[in-house]
Amino acid sequence: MTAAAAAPQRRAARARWILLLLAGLAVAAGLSLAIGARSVPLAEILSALGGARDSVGEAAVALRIPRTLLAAAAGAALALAGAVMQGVTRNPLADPGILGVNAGAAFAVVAGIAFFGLSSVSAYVLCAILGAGAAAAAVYAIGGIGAGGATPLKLALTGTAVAIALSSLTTAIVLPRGDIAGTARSWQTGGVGGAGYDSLRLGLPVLALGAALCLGAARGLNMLGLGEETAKGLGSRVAATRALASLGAVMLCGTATALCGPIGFVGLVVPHACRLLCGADHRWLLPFSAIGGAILLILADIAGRVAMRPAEMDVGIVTAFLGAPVFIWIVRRRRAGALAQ
Amino acid sequence: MTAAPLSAGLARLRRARTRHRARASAALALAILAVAALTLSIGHTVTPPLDLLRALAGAEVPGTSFALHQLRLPRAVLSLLSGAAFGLGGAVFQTMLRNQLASPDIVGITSGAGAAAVAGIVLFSLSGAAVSLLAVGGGLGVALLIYLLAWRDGVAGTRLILVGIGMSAMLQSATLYILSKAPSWTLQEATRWLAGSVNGAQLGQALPLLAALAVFGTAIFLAARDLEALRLGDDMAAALGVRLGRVRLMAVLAATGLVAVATAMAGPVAFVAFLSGPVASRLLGPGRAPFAAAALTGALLVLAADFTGQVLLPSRYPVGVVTGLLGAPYLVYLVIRQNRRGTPT
Amino acid sequence: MTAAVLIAEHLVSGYAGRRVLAGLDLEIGRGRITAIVGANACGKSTLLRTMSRLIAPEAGQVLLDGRSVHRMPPRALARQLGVLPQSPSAPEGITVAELVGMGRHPHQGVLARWSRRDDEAVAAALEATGTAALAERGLDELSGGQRQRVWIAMALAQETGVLLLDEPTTYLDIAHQIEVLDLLTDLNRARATTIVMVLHDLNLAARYADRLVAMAAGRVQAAGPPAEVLTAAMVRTVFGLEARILDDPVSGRPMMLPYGRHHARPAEPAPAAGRAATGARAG
Repeated sequence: MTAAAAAPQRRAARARWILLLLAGLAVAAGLSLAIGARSVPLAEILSALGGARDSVGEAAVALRIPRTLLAAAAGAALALAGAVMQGVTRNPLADPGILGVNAGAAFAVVAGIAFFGLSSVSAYVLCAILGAGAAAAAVYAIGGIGAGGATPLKLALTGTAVAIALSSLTTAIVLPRGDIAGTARSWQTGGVGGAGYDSLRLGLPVLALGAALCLGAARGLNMLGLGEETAKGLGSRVAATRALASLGAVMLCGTATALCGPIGFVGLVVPHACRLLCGADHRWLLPFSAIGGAILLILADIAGRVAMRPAEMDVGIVTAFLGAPVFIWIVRRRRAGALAQ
Repeated sequence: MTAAPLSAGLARLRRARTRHRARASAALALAILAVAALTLSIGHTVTPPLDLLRALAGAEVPGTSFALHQLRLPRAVLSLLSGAAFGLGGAVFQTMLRNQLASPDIVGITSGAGAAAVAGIVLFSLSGAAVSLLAVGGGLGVALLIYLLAWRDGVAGTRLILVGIGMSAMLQSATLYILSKAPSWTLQEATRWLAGSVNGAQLGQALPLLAALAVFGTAIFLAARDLEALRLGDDMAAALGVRLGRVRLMAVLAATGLVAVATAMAGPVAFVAFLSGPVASRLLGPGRAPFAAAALTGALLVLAADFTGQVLLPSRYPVGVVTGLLGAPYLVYLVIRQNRRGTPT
Repeated sequence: MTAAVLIAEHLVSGYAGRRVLAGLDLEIGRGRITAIVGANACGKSTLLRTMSRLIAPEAGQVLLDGRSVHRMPPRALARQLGVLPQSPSAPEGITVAELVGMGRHPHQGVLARWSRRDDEAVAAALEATGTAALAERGLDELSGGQRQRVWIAMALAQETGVLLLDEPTTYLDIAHQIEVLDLLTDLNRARATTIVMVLHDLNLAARYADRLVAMAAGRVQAAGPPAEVLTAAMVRTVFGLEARILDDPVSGRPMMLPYGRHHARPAEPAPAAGRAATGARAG
């Protein structure tokens, strides 16, 4: 009796959580518009959203709109990508940053600028996606070599190794080229401060496509959670699920990195927190993570604006300080043996 | 075979191995001498060997003495000593954690020293010895923090590595943040330091390195046998009578001390701590942890990389960039090889 | 009777606050082979690890010849008590001779050079385990059974009177299991080494051990000669399993044949306690 009755109850609870998260997202977005070097009252925010640009407050809000949109989009993308990567690799520590994706994107962009004279935003985005994808694929391929596949330890070490290797190469490219040093440095930490509608317009379709791929793979990811062989035994197309989900995740975090620069740990922290709310079912976990990621990045951006007022702290730095302790906590919670197997 | 000839055979085998190791170490030392001679004689000008010897002996050789005593010699000495400290410290970490990837540059010790030094340079406008002290303190502090955070019923190597990776991410963010606040004059100093270089080396910098090598090197030498046993895993080492906690804490402190002092003097020269151990054990053959040879290898690496960066490449690179370029592919290769074999943890 | 060489007194022990052993008492006879058996998570490995001071107990003590194991200097203890943990790991590329040589660690001082005595001990250990021909081979090249013999050789080179082994036969096929257990019996007879081992297989334990220790829920349920300990009642309390005990025609020791739900049951109905235990485990 319990099993049959519990399912609708669980669904209702999850639906309530989704609504709550959406409400949280709205509040966070409102705060993001209101808070900054200058605080803007609600009335002016609303008029600014309506299109008015008359007062200083309204003008400030107008600048904060693309920034908030970008934070929401990038946060959702990174968290969704993280949840999918954790599902695909069956590895609790998988995160775009840990997997060397950020370093790959940065390296590709810097190399593109230095060797091919790239200068347009669309070229940066394309470069970043390619670099991110190549790095993620390389890390996963190398980390998966040998007994036990991609264990947490192997994957984290491989990701760190590849990231260090790539940043060495990046340094070597940048150092003799004073002309691109500034551009290169902006690729070291992620921020949403420089957001504009141009880059958003460019990135959003890619993000939407990536998200669709990931959400479509949710059921397959649930199967994959049982182990590759069991999933095959249950008739799941393991290879197709992996390929589509990975492609979607790389598109998401590659684009997010291209738009904001490297932002770590959102993809790690949010899915873990959401698993506490909705369990391990990817059909729920993925949307939960997307909304949660948007909230987290908007809040982190606000924190970065407030913490050092009037100066700003890049959101990538804020997330590292929030996320690294969570990473360490996850590591501490697990038995040592489970990390290496 | 009966026991007596067998034990004689074993002894012969062991002596042959020891001889092989001694020969490999001697070859390393010779290579160091050769590269050192090259770096001492080649710079803006090329010094003939005879002039070099005379200048080294103290004679005043016009056009050579200044370059040698003020520029090339300090540079070579700093390269040699910092390389040795990096190499030895790295090998201790790798042996203790039973993982070649678990070197101080990867588990966050170097990031700790780096973050502290950059903070000192940028936020407090420090320079010289104060920055060095801060770097040493930062490295040790981070090492202890990682050690404590990884503690749960004792310290498991795996957990220590992963906690270190997490800490390292945070510290790098902190470093970048501080750099983003830096005014241009300290920014240059800080970035130069972060790249790892022996430019502007002074002979005085050799003293702290010598002291560190003497103190921590002795400690490591005394614990070498216990560290050797640690390679069999924690349980087996304990079964052989090793005091795990004490040896590990001692090793962490000594190795961190070495790496932090070297980082303070030469900056975080990429990958030397990581590369030296594996290269040395390649040269010496497996079976023993290559502590002394790793120190030699580290010294050779930094000397050779600095020479390459100064003389052989089209534009002048600080030594850290050269070792980074050199180390990156080897690092990836090592990850592949280690994964293929299965992580020995 | 031989005196006890190793005594556990009121041992309380576990990991990270999870108590596994709750006040356990046990005596290990000198020169005997003792096998510890029990269901998963009953505390048999914890007992072995606590007795070999790999874990410090929360309360109680372990006495080796009357001295507390956890207070002895580690090296001195390692000269008297050897431990072979479950699936130990070896450094890459190490040779058999080098690995077995590591067993000499507790006999060597910080600065002491390798001595003739060390060579002899290693040679004797290689001989005893039949691994002398492998001395120059790398450990990576060996089969599972050979590798286990090499690890035992290493523990022998340690030259201890007592040897504790945690599941020395895991991951080995049945032929290699017999080979390892025969080897341990040889050592016990030739060197009078006291052997304590955790074993999964009840029948092998009954066949090779002089004394069986059956554990459940962190306590000793029964201890004594296999013929007294391996009974249907013991199997029921310790494993929650109905079984029939026969005399093994090969070894003369008792052997156990379990009943599944699909096999013929004994005439009398199974007691409720046994079934409840089985149900609890499945749920």
